[in-house]
Parts: sequence; structure tokens; C-alpha cells
Amino acid sequence: MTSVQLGWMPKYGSLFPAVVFFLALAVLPVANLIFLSFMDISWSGGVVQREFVGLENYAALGDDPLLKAGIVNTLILVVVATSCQVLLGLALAIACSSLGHSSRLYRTLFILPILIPGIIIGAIWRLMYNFQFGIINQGLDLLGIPAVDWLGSPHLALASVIVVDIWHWTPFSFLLLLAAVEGLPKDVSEAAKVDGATAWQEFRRVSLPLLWPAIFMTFIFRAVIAFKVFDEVFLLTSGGPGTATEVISFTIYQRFFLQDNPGYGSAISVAVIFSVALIIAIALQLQNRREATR
Amino acid sequence: MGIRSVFGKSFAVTTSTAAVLGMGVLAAAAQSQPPINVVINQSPWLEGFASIVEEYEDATGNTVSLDVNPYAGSLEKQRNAVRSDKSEFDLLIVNGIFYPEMYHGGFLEPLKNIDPDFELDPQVYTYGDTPWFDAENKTVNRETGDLLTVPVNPNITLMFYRKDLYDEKGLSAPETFDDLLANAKMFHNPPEMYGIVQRASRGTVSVTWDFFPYINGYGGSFFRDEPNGDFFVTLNSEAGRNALEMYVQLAKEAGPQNTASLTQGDLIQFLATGKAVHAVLPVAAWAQMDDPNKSIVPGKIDFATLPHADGFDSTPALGHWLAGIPKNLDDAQKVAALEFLKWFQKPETQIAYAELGGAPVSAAAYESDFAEKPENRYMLAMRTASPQAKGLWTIPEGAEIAAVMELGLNRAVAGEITVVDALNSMAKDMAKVLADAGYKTGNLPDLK
Repeated sequence: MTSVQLGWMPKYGSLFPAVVFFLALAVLPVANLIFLSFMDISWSGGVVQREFVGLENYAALGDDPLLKAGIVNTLILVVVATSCQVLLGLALAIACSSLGHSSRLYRTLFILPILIPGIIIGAIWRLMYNFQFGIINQGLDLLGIPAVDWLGSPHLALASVIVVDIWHWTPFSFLLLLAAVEGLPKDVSEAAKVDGATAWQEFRRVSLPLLWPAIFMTFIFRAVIAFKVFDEVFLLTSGGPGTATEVISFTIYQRFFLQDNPGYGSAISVAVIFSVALIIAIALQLQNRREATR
Repeated sequence: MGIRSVFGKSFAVTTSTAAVLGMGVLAAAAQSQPPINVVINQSPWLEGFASIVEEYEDATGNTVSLDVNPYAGSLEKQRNAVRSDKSEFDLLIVNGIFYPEMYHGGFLEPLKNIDPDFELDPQVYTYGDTPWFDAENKTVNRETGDLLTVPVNPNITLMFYRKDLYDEKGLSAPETFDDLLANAKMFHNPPEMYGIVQRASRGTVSVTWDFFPYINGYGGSFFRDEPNGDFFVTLNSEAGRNALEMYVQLAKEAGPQNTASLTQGDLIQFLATGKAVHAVLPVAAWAQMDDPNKSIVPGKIDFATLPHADGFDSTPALGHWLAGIPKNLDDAQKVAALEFLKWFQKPETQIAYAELGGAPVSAAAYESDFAEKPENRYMLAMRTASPQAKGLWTIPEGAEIAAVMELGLNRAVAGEITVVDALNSMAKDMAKVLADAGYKTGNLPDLK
């Protein structure tokens, strides 16, 4: 049979529809966002007015008290919530895996929170946290402990939101890490046991290093999602009290939509997109170096 | 009607039906109109409005759909509608705080362009002449402006208080803020009873609206002379300090621990469950107080105009609602929407609106015999409060100013920052918003 040299054209040509699709859905919206971020947009006589303002919107980022609070709170939420979720998810994954087939019921139960729509989660927790009649304060009352203002106290509100986020998203970590735990080679663990390793030593020295790439990727995935947190804050606290639970997504929502300032809102959005991309790139680079040195 | 099944007609009174049937004779003369779609927010007065819409449908055979949304969601839908090629809504129920955005943006059709003979009924309150807008001078002005909207809800704040408890102590409604503080502290017995519940959560416009009567009631203001274009910020004045200190003091000494996270719904809940003695609420919430299906204190709440400091006037906050017709509609839809407004503003419709649990906008309702009945006692308070009420602002930057104030006031009530720091920072931020928008502005030196 004669082989035909098709050259590079058909090969790359076949990718063309996918490239166009990607450009239309991913690149163009971001490009438009970047374009808007250099504009001041208003309406007059029913017609949109666009004025080029250069870097003015970006210069204003540093003076925005909501944005500053949003960045700090988002970072706290991302680090604390994601760490807890990964730890809990790993513990639950190991527990379920060790139970084998009899863990099916637990697996179903553990993933339930992630299946519940955000609006319902907001309603559930808002009721539970209610200062006057919430079930948590009623429980404390039975123990003789005074009611706590979970969502209204500047000192507790962010922690209360983080608890909801952990409850909501631990199943995500659990699912990813369960797959990793179940994929661990059994012979390595058994060899360690034969060599006299205790359960902790086997976990610390054998399983954990093998699980590390999965744990790292789970952390990154979860951190990216946590960075976008909006619904929990919107439904539970609206960013308050004060700026105690202000997060970046909520700041964008207020500046872009409520205050109807698309130019400045776009500038925040662009800054956030690139900051998150940069953080992920650095994290992946560090992970690659770590892998390379092993 | 879209939400007919939700609200039903159970509370429609016989008299209103008779009155509206009478109107039906007039309405029958009107041509059958295409269906109209109204975008409206979920507020305490929605139920009454939905009922009067039902009456319109029954009287005319025309169809009206209500697209009901949360406060911020309604605003967003309105923005999207007027900025699109063709509006999906025929009637926008615009808030008295955000209407300047619609006016300045040029999105609403002057009503006389639809029907040159259309006039606002002389008995309809004009709420600071806000239905008229002078597009050339960018001001609300009855003399030189076009009629763009028809008021549909007064939404003035009133002092709701427990008359039965006041009677037991031989007290009369609080006239000054000091009276209010003293009375609230007297009744304060947490967690069974709170002296006062105040809204201080961050929202689109929540604590800002509730604080407005305080600063005005102490002789202060947000701006030095807004009607004449002077937007110098005077929020951080001594009057501002007194007002915010009183707001915070009431919260600390006579309110629930979580005042900083209370919403309007929470305030209604506290009153209706008999756990609070005072609350400042929009008038439309009266219906929930007297409904035995929703309240354990029916008939026990009375209404008064808001307190003030000695030597100053009571100043309820206007948060009224105005109905406007988008420009980007077919002519037939504009005519259909205006037909509804013509019917709605009639004196007899307004009386029926009151009877159906709504909050009318016409003196015809407030001066009718209906207002004299004990169960309609809120209307007597409205007679006093309506002429005293003021709007927060008339400029389209309201959303940005509100964002600044919501944050600062909430932080002050939550105890995150001091009253002085809150006022100074809000004043600076407001002046910046206004300066960026090109207004003549500035702000007072920092309070110490």
C-alpha cells in the first residue's frame, strides 16, 4: 500500500474548528473584558457612551477599600477552607477505602452537600446560624451557653462562612482523593508492613508520598474554586458585617453590577484573572521542581 | 396575571369590588389592549399591588403579568431591558432611589409622547416632583421637565410601635429621638422583648435609607445644597455625629445583639412575633402587622411619623416607587402600559388599592372615609408624614453613594470602627465619587 504524505495542512486544518470554538468561547470574552477595563462606560439619551481612560481604572484599584478587604478575606478563606477540605477529604477517603464495599452508604452520604444547590445551602445555614432561633444557638442554650451572633459579629462572620464552605466542598476533595487512595498499589503497602512498618509509618513514608501529586492537584483545583466564592457570602452575609466577609467576587458584583460601573469592574476582573493564573503557574512550577528533585 | 395563584383574592373586600366594578364601566370603554409585562420587586407592598392588578384585569379584560424579583435583581433586569434593542418589559417599577439612573440615561418615554392629553391626576402625590425630569438641565423639575413616570407606591418610613404596651404605661408616640431612646430602654428586656429593632445590614440601599431620617432629624444632610447643584458633602457634621451616635446607641442599649446583620424582613419578623416594641419600616409593612395569619399582634401596632431632635423637623425617607415606560417598545405596548397607569391613578382605583391592602399614592385615598377606620390607622400617620418626607438624592450616582454609606454605617453599628471614623471615611469616599462624576463637591474637615 502506498503511503500518502498529507503534510501539515490537513493536520492543523482539522484543529481549526476547535481553535475557532475556543477563541469564541474563551479568548474573546476575556479580550473584551480587557478592552472594557480601559473604558469609562455610561448611558445618555438611551445610548451607551464609551470614553477611553487608559490605566485610570487600574490605578483606582489601590484605593478601593472593598477590594483590599476582599483580597485579604479571600486569601484567608482559600487557605483555611481548602486546607481543611483537603485534610478532611483525605481522612474520609482513607476511611471509606479501608471499609471496602461496605462503605457505599458513607460514600453517598459524604457527597450529599456538593449536590445541594447553593441557594438551598444558603437558606439551610442562614437558618441554622440565626441568632434568635437558629438550631446552633438553641443547642448552646440547652447547654447554658449564651447565644452567639455567628453572622453578625465581625470576629466570627468569616469563620462562619468558612465552616459552610468546608461543609459544602469537602465532598469535592473526598471524591478526587478517594480515586487516588483506591489507585494506590497494594503491594508497596504490604511490603512496608512485612518490613515491620507501623500503620502510621506506612502512611507517612509510603502512602502519603504516593498520594502527594493527587493531594496537590486537589488543593489547586479546590483553591481555584474557593477563589471564586460568591454564593455563600451573598446569601449569608452580603459581605458584612462591615467588610468582615467581603470577598473578591462580591466586590466585583457590587462594582460591576450594583454600581453599574463596567469599566472599573472589568479592571478588577482582569487583575483577578491574571493574579490567580500567576499563583497557579507558580504553584505548578514549584510542584514540578519538587518532582524533578525526587 | 402571573402571580395570581400566589396571592389569590381572599382579602379583597366587598366594597372594593363594588368600587372597581363601577370603574369597570369606564374601563370597558377603553379599547382592549395587548398584554403587558411589568417588572417589579418583592416588597411588603407587592401583595396589594398584585391585587389591584387583578382588579384591572377583571375590569378591563386586559392581561398584566408581574415579573417579581428581589430588589437588586429587579434593578438589574430593568437595566438590561432598557439597554437592549427592545425591552422585554412594558412597565418598569423603578425605585425612588434609582430612578435618576433611568432618567439621566434617557431610557423612559415621556408619557405625553404616548398620549398628549395624559396628565397626572391632581390628587396623586408627587413626592418632591420626582415624576418630572428636565433632560436638558438634568434636574427633577415639574415646570420645565417631561412627565416620565407615575408614582405607584409611597413607601415612606413610619415609626411602628406597640400601642398596647404604650397604653399600659400611659405613654404617647415618641416625638423626639430622646423620647424614643428612653421608651425603648424602658421596654427592653432581651431576649423576650427588644426595645427597638433597626436595620443595619449591608444591602443595596438598606441602612442608608433608615439612617436618612436620623441625620435630617438632627438638622443635618448628606449634601450642602443639592437642589441648587451644591454637592459639598456634609455628612461628617456635628448633626451627622449626633445622628449616628443615636442610631448606634439605640442598637447597643435597646436592640438585639445582631443589629448589624438585621434586614427589613427581620424587623417585620420581630414585630409580628411580638418580640420588639419599635421599628422604623416602610408604610406598606402595616398589612403584615394586622394580618392574623402573619402576626401575633394584630391591632396592637400603631404608626407615627418619625422622631426628630428638639428644634428640628421629622423627615421620613422617601423610597417611593415610580412606574415608567421604556422608550425601546412598540407603540402599541406603550399605549397598553399607559392605559394601565391611567386606570391606576384614578381616585376610585386608589381607594380600592387601599382597601385591598396596598399603599395608595393619592390624597383621594388618604382623605377618604376609609382612612378614618381604626384598622386603617396607618393612613392617618401617612397624612402627617407624606408632606414631610424627603428623597435621598436625585442624581444617578446613587448606587455608588449608597455602596459607600452601606459599608460605613454597617461598620459603625457593628462596632468595627467608631462613629467619627465612619463619618469621616464616608464623607471622603462620597466626595470622591461625586468629584469623579464631575459635580461641584468637597467635604467638611474631619470630625475629631
